[in-house]
Amino acid sequence: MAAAKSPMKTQKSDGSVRLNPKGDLVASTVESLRDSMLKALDDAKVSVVLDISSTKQIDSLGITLVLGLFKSCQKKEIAFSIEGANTDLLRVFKLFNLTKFFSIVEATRE
Amino acid sequence: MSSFADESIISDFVAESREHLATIEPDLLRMEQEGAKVSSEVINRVFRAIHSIKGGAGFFAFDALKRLSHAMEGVLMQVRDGKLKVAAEVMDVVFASLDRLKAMLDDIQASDSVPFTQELAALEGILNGQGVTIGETVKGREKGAIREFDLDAESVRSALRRGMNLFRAIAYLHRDIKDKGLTPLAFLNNALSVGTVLDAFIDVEAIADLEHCLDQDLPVTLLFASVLEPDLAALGLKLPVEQVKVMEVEALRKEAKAKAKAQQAPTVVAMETPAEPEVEAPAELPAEEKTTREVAKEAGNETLRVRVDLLTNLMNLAGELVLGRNQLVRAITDSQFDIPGLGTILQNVNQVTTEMQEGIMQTRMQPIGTVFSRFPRIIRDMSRQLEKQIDVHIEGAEVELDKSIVEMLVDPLTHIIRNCADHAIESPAERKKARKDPTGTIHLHAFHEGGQINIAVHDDGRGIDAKKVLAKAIAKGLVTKAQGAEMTEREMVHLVFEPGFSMAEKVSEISGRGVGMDVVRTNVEKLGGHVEMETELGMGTTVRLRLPLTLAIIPSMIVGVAEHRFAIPQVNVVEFVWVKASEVAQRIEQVQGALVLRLRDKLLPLVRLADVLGLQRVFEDPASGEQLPDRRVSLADRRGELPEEPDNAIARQGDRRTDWRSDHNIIVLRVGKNHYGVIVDELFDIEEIVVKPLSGFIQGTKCFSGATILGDGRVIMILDAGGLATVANLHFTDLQAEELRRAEEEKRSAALKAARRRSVILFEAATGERFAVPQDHVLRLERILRTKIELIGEREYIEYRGEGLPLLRLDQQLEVRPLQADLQELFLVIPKIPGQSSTTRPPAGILISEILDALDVEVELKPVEFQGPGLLGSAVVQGHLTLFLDPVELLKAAGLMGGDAA
Repeated sequence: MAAAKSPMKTQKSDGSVRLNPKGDLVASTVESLRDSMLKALDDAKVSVVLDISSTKQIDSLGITLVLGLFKSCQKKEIAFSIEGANTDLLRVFKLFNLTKFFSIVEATRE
Repeated sequence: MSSFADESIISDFVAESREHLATIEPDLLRMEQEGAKVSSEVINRVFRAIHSIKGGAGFFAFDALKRLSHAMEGVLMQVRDGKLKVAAEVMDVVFASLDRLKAMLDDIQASDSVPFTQELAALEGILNGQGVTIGETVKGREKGAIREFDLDAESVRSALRRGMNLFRAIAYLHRDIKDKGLTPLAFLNNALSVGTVLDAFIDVEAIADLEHCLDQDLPVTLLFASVLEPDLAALGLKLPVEQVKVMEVEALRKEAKAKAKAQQAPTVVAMETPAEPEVEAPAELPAEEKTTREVAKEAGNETLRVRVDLLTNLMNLAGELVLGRNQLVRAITDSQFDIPGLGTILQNVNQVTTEMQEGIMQTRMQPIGTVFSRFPRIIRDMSRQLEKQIDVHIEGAEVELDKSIVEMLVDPLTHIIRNCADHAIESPAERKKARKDPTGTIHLHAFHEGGQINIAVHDDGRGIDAKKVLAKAIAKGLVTKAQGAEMTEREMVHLVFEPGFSMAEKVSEISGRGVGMDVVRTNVEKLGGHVEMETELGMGTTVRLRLPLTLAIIPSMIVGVAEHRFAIPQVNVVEFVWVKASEVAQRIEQVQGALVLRLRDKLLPLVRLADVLGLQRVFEDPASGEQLPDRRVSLADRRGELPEEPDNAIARQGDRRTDWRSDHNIIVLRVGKNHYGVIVDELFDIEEIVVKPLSGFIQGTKCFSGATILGDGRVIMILDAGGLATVANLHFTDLQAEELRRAEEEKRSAALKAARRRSVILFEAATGERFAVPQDHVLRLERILRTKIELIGEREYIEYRGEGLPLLRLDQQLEVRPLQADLQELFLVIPKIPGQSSTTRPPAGILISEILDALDVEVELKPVEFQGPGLLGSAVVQGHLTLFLDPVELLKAAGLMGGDAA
C-alpha cells in the first residue's frame, strides 16, 4: 500500500521550516494538513513560514488551522509568518485583523 | 477616486487633517526643543497624525498629499526608532513640508498642483543620508497579547457622523460561518454590504494549539457600524440577535478608560490604511507608553463636528428669541396679575431663554489657545531667520472667547508677536552685553478681568525709547513739535499706534512697513476693545488688549435724544452725571471752543449727542410743556439770573436756565484710557441687546457699531464710543494740556494769594492818617511818655534799655501830617533789622500816636500818588485808606541804619 500523498511541501533549513500547502485550506484538507504540520513543527527551531501561494480559498476551519499553527509557534517561541497570500486571502486576514499577530506578505503578481 | 467620493466625506477628511496638523506643530516644536529627551508619546502622536493624513490621502487618491506625508512619515519613523537625530536642519525640512501639507489641504481638489518636489527631495535626502529607503516595511510585531477593540476615534467619529449605530457582533467560525455554508470571505463581504467593519479581533489566548485547534469553535468579535436597527443588523449579519449588541459611545469611552487604568492590554489606535500597507502605523505602542490622560483625552475627543454656519444661525435664532422674550415681557408685564400663574410662566420662559442663549453662545466659544498655538512656530522660524534666541511662554490658553473675536485677533496678535521678535528682543550678543540672558522671552498671557478678556504680550527686550518715538512721529509729520512738547512719555509711546508710524530704519521681510500697530489698534477697537502699551527702556514692553467676551449679545444702556433712542454698550459706560440746570454755569464751560465738564477737578470733554448725529435738539418749554427746537448754541449760559424783583417772578418761572427740565444727563464714556461725556435727553433702562450687523449702506458710519431691536419692537442704533469721539473731533491731548495749564495757573494764583496775604500792624500817626507795617518787620512796640523824649541837636532820643534810642517822625521823611503836639502818651515802632538778632540794639524807633490793630489782610497794594522812602503802596483796610510802610527803608532814608547813619 502506497503511503498517502502529503497535502503539503515542506522545506527545512537551519531550524527554519517552510510549509507550502498544495491546495485550499478548507474542511476537507485541514485534518491532513494539521498532521503534516505537527510533524514539520518538530524540526522548527527558528521560524515557520506558511507559504499559501498555492491556496486559493480558505474556510473557517482553514482559519482555525492557521491560528492553531500560529499558537503553537508562539508556544515554542519561534517566529511565524505567512507568505504568498492572494488578494482574497489577504482581505480575509486583514478584516479579521490577523495582520496584528503575524506578518502576511501578499503574493507577487505576474 | 476622489471624483466618486462624497464631497462631504472629503471635507471631513480635510477638517480632520487640519486638526491633526494643528496638533502636530506644537509636538514638533517640543521634539526640537527636547531633542533625544522627548517622550516617545510625543513622537508617536506626530507619527500617528501624519500616518492618518497619509491614509486618507491614499484612500481619496490625493497623490501629492500622500507622497509628501509618506516621506514625512519615513523621516519621523527614523526619529522614533532613534536612527535620526532631531537637528534644527531636519526640523526645518519637516516644518516646510508641514506648510506644504497645509497648502494642499487649503484647496484639496487642487492639491496635486501645489509644488512640493523641493520638500520631498529634502525629506528623501534625509532618509537616504541615513541609508534608509522610503517604504521599508517595519518589522517586529506584537506577540499575540489579549486585545480589545482598536478604538480608532476617527473611524468611530466618521461612522457616528453618518448616523450609524455601533454594534459588537460575535461570529463563531464554525456554527455561524461554516455551518451556514459560508466562507469567512463571504461572511465578511455580506457584513460589508450592510455596514462597516471598524475592527475585529480574535482572543489569542483562547486559541488552542495546532493539535486541538480544529475541535474548537473560535469566536470572532466585530466592531460593526451600520445604519440598521439592532434586530435588522443581526439579520443582515446572519447572526443570532443575542450575539449582536448595540454599543453606546459612552461605553466605548469607559472601556478605553478602564483599559488604560488597568494597563492589562495595549490600547491600540490603529489607523486604517486601505491603500498603503507598507509602513505600519505605530499601532503597537507598549501599554506603559500610553498614559491614562492620553487615553482619556482620545476618548474625550469624541465630539460632534458642527458646521459654523449652523451655529451662527442658531445664535441668530437665540438672539431673535431674546428679542421676542424682551417684547413678550414688556407686552404682558402689566397684565400678568390678571391671569393666574402667568407670572411664573413668564419667569420660566425668561430663565430658559437666558440659559439657552448662554448655551448657544458657549458653543461658539473657542479657547484663545487656538491663536496662541501658532506663535511658537512663528517665533521658531523668526529666531532662526534673525539669528536670535527666543522662548515663548503661554499662559491662559484655555481662556475662551467668541469664535468671531478669536478669528479677528489673529492679525493683531501676529503683528505684536512679530514686532517683539523683530524689534524688541535683542541679539544674543547685545543681550549678553546688557547682562541679560542671551535667550529672550515672549510671554503671552490671557485672563479674565471685570467681565472682559485681557491679553498681555510681554517681552524682555530693549523697550521703547519714548523720545525716539516722538522724534520719528515729528519727522513723519504725525504730530507737531508743539504738541510733542506737551506729551507725557506714555502718550509718546502710544504714537506707535498712529497710522503710518514705523520705527524700522529699513523695511525688512518681517516688519517695518508701518502698518503693524495701527492695524492692531484698529482691529481691537473694532471688536469693542482697546489696546495699550507699557514699556521700560532696557527692560521690555507689554502690550495689553482688553476685549469683550462676545459681540453678539451685550448689555447696553438705552438713551434718548430728541425722540430717538440709542444703545450704548455698557462696557463703555463709566458713570452717569446729572448736572442741574442751575449748576450749568459753574460746571460746564468752554475751552478752546469745546464744551467741558468740571468733574472732580478734572476737565471732561463733552459732546451733545444730538449735535454729533446731526439731530435737531429740542427742549420742553417749561411754560407750555411743548417740545420746541432748541436753538441755544452754548450750554454754558453765563448770563446772570434775573434779579429778585416782583416783575421778574413770572419770567423767572419760565426761565430755562433754572428749570429742572433743563437739567443735563451726561453719560461718561470710556475710550481706551480717555473718558468723555455725552449729553443725552433721557436715560432709560439697561437691556441685553442682540447686536445686528449694519447694512452695507451705513457700514461706513463711524458713530454706529450695529443695530438692535428693543423690547417694544423699535429698531435702534448702537453707538460706537470711539467713533463718536472721532466724529466729535475730541482732542484729549489738548484738554490734558488745558488741565495742566489750569493746574499751573491755580498753583500760581495760590502762590500769589499767599503773597498777598500779610500780617500787619495797623497804626495812626496824625489823627485819621493810617499806616501799616508788616509784622515781620517789627521787633517791638513800646508805649512812651512824651516827657521822656530828649532833644540832642536836631535829633530826638529816648532812653531804651539803658541806652539812647534815636527817634524818627514819619513827617520827617514822608509828606504826611505831624503828630499832634498835645499827646502825652505815644508809641514806638521798633523795626526789626534783617539779619540781626532780637537782642541787638535796635538802630531807631518810629514815633506814632496810636496802635489800632494787629491783623491778617489780603490786599493788593496800589501805588501811592506821592513818592517817599519806604512806601510800599496803599490799600483799603477796614474801610480806610492805609499806607503800607517798610520801616527799615524809612530808617535807611533817615540815615539811622548803623554805619549808614550820618
